[in-house]
Amino acid sequence: MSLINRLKKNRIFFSIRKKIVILLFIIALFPVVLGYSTLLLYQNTIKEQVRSSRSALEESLIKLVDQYVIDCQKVIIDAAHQPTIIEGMEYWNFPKLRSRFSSIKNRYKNFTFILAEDRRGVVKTVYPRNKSIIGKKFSAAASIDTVKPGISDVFYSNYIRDPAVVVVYAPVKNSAGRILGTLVGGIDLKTLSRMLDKVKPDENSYIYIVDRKGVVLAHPDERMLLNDLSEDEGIVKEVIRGETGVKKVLDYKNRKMLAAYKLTHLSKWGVIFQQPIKNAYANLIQLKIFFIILTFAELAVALFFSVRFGGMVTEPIHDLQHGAEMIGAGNLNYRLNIKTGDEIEKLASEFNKMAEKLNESYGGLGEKINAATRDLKEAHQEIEEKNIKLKEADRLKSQFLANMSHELRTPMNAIIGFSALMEEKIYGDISEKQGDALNKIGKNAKALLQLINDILDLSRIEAGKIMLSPSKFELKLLIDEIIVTLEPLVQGKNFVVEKSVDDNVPELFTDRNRLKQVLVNLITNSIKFTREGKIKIGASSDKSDGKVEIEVMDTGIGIQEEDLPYIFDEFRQVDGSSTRQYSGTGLGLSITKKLIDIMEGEIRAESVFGRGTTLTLKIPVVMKKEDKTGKAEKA
Amino acid sequence: MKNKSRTKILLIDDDQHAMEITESRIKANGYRFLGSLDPVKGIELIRREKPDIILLDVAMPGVDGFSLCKIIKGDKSTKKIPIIFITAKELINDVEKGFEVGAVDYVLKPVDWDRLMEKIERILV
Repeated sequence: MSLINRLKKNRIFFSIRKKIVILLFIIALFPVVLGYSTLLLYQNTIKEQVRSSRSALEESLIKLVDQYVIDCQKVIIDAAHQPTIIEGMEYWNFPKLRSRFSSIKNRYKNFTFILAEDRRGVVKTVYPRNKSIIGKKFSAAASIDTVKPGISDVFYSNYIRDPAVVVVYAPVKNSAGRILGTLVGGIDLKTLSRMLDKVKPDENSYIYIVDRKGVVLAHPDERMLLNDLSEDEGIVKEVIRGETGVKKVLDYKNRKMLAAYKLTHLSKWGVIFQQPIKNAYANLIQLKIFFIILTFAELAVALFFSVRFGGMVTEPIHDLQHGAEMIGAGNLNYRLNIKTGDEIEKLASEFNKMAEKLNESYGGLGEKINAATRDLKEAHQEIEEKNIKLKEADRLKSQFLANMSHELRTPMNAIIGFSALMEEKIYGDISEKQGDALNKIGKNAKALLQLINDILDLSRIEAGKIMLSPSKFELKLLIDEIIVTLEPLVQGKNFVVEKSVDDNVPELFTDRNRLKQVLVNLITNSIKFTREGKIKIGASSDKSDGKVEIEVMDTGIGIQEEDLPYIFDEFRQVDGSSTRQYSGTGLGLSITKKLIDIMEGEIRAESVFGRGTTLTLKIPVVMKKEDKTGKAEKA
Repeated sequence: MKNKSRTKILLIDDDQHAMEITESRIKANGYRFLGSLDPVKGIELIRREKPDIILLDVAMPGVDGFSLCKIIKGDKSTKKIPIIFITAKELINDVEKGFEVGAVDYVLKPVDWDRLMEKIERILV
């Protein structure tokens, strides 16, 4: 498992890419926040600017309205001083008056009508012609004091078609200063409205005018005319109190509006300019929208670049990680191909170098291993061949031993057989000398046979060809059997053979024949080297070590101390002279020693020269199952 | 026990000298002797003569003693005849194999004739 995976397992894995994206996003948010706070600060300034610009607009509106009213009044006052009018009213020349009125009205589009009242306030003539008003007291209806020029409040008149009427008036005096009557002009509010309309900055804005009592005298919506708004609308209340301002209001249609309001100087009318907030603050809103768009655009760009940049940074890292995993997994031929032109490329190139090195060293190692394996195989093959040869040699050796045994015994069999037949006179009578010679032939042949047997035995032991076949038996009985067997050798000698086997000697489990061979060897030796005294065969067992000790003691010639260490060596029968004096091949003790070794026993010799010898052997009561040689015997 | 002179002891051995010595010894002990140097002819002789004891050499050219023993033991008419191996081979495997194939004894060359005669007499009782 890679390091990365382990990290994944143990902790929440947060990729570099994500980190970069989040970091860049946070960085991108900074100008947004900064911009927004600036915007908030700037908003008030903008609002202030809007307000002041609306105030200015309102001011010009006031001027316009004032001017309009002044113009109307001026026209009526001028007319009141015109000789034609004075003369016409002196003598009530109606056609003359009407003609004059018509000319005025057509010249100044500000009037809806112009009429003349007499000094009692009765309408004498009117232009345009309107019969229903003639003879009525119009000024009184308009509640105006006609002594000096003035302007009326808004009112409703049954005689006038217009729903709201405001009039300007001026007394007409003759040259003597006598009041002839009053000249009244109905101000054309519609024209005023239209005029104001031209000034308004946008389609959804509107301007309306209230008189000093708060009654609507001009409004784009005719249904609003003559409505008293002094109670309903706060700004109307404010404006008729003479206050000026710009504020956010809900208009009669419940729309959010920015209202600018002020009283006119002359007529004391309230002129109210209403503009939808969204129009008024269009710039601000535009700015806000622009800002939001900018913010999103910026964030989008930041996101895009952070993702791209994250990719740029992390992709090579991913490649690096993948490469490291590949190389780590043992794919040493894998090479990273990262061309970022930065530290990561350097790192990748280091990785490649590392992989190269590893590859080289592994390659070298592999070659070494291969070479070593080859050598090993060769050695193994050599050993195998040698083993085969050894086995063959072994087989040949076994074969040779078997053949030797057979081939030597066959002629020995003939020699011994024929000489015995002759000696026993089965082939007819012989002389005493002939008998003696045949006896010597037989004895020598047997000695030779014994030598042959011993040599073969020794060869077999050394070749590991001796196989032990253990069985259960009583040591006491074996010793008895040996004594009986060797009885002929003892006959005619001046010593006794004793045996003492302890009762605690257990039943043995070992190779009976080989033990017999050993004991026969030892006892035969004792018999051979003892002239008088006794030979004692003893056996005892110390249960603690699981071994049995067998002792063959004689009162024979003994062995010199310096010879003792060598008595188990091959062909070393103590001294040269003894070989002559005592028959034997000199192989007996050597074979004995080797057999005892195979039986996992030990033998030691003690001797006092001229007094006797004691040979003590110690073997396990129970022989281990597996045989010591481990080799099967082959014929 | 039947009369010694009518007791037939048969030897199969390719060794001419062993044959001569054995013949002398058997006859000297009063038995009838039959012998064959050739194993195959020996088998024919056994079937014809039905000897009382068979002495077999082990190492012979062609058919060895163990195979001969198996043949004899495999034949109803001869399987009850006691067989003693007389051989120069003293390897333990061979001795074991000798008993395995049905021999009553296994005697090594050079033969201790007194002991062999004792054994023969014991078998014939």
